[in-house]
Amino acid sequence: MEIIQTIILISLILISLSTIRETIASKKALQRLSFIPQEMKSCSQASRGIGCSIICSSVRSVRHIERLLSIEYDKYEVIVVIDSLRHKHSFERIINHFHLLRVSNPACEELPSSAIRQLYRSRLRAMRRIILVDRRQVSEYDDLNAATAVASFEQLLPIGKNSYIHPQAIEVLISTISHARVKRQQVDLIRSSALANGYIFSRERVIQLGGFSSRILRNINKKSVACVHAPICYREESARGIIIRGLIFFLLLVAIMPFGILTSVALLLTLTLQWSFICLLDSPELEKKCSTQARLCYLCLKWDFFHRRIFTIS
Amino acid sequence: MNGIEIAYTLYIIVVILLSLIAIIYTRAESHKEFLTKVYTLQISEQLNLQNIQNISANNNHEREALLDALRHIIIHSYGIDHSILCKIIYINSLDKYIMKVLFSTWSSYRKARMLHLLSYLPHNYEVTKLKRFRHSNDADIRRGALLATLADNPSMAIANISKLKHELSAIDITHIISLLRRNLLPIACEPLLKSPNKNLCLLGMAIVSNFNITMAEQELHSILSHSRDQRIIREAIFTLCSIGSTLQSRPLRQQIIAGGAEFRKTLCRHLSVEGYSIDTIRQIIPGRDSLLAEKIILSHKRQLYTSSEVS
Repeated sequence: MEIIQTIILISLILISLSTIRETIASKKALQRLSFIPQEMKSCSQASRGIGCSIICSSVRSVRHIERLLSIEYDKYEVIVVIDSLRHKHSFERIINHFHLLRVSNPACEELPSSAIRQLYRSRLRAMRRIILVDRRQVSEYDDLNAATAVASFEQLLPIGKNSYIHPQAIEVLISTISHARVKRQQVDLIRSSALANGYIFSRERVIQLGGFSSRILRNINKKSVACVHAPICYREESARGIIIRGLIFFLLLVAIMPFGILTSVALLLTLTLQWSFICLLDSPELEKKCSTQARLCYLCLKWDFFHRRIFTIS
Repeated sequence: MNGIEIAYTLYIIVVILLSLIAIIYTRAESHKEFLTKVYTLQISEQLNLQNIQNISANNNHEREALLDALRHIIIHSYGIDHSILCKIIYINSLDKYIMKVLFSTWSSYRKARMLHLLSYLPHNYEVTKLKRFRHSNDADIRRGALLATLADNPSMAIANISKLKHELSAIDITHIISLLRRNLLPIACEPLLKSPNKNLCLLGMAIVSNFNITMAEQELHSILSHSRDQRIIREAIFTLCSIGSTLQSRPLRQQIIAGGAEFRKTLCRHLSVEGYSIDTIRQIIPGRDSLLAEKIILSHKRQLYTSSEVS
């Protein structure tokens, strides 16, 4: 009994220390982003041409796409991949809302797995940053490959169904690439574990590796990976996901109760500690609802000990 | 109580204390943001009246908020009369506060923040005392010290930049350009482009692209024919694109061929998005590399599919 209590205490201490360390590092990284000049946050000329393409799979909501388009940076586009035959209503809603029309799409030789049925761009100048790709739904990796084939910019940020880009993600990208250029370092992947696992890939490296796959993270040389503490994206958990995780946590609490009231109180207080430290990462640009969702997502990630350590956006 | 219970109790006490500290810090930060907005509004309103009244900061927390508000106003405005802002700074002893924090804090972020503030705000302090920060290992501190020095003595700007031992990053150069835009640094770009100093050359090219100085095209082509530094060559090519140059010169084509396949693809995408035509790109980038540009341009031009309706 005492051995199990000791193990539980050590685990709680490790979880608390990990949360404190990561949130303080993320907070410091976010503070450093304030040194990026205002001009670089909206104009790519100041950042010497750094561009970012957001490649989306399983994103079918107009509201979600509008939130992705809210970033004010000129070399930025959102590429949405959707199967028009399986998701006909969502497809038509997106076409009508963004005034998209079909454009020509020559075959891409760089990524053979990216066969596309049709390609759409908007006729409105205000919506010029959105591209819709219609292709048969096979897997999220094939969707990302199709989006990569039509992307116009160097950096790719994959986004999934419940993922949203953090308001300061572009600043993270600019800061990392600018420093790497001075040091003559090649950056093929920018990786962040703050809030949710966010990745920004170099388009050329993805093409050299044959496209996205679950093993892509292992195939990239560690020397060309830049690990940053500032958040790149965050996830919103669905109500069902929150309820399931809440139930699991409740069962864990019930399972620990026989070991004493102190153990249960320690578990609850560890959760409180994590929540209060995650509040440090609140950004003024994040809407209140989004920041609550982002905090919940981070909590779920911290307690998800068995999540697969492979690249996935779902 | 046995040992394990004592350990649990200690853990619970520490966790409660840390949670309280985090909550208090978060509330202090949000209060500071609120104060900054209030100060910004007050200063904006009273700038129109050309008279500053009742803007005071009584403790360090309020001084930090007031400094943020002043910086925010200076960044987002042009041609402000600095004498009015000087009154706020001297009434509240903000310059002494900045120096006190700069030399007493152990946090590199706070040092860098104070140095950046010195470059924005009018002050009376001797900038020579900031020399020790110009050789810091922290890039933000180095940049802040450089900007404070440049803002204090604009006539020595070129000399100070040429003495730098480290290479300027894009962020550094953008900050210097913003000093230019606030009319603090009167610098001509032509001598900079011809300078053998890398930092001065990079700054010159940034000035050309920011102010769209099309007359500098010849100097840029000259850089391409003489320079061996990859970053300078890349910057020169992108600067030529930004001023809408026709990109028709032998040194340029040679550098593009020597740049490698990855660079040519990057350039293809950049030229396509910048609005260059397919014919021009084919002349600049030989062979199959220009097919990528053709694909992007045709798609961007919304070349309609032959079918008249969307299926």
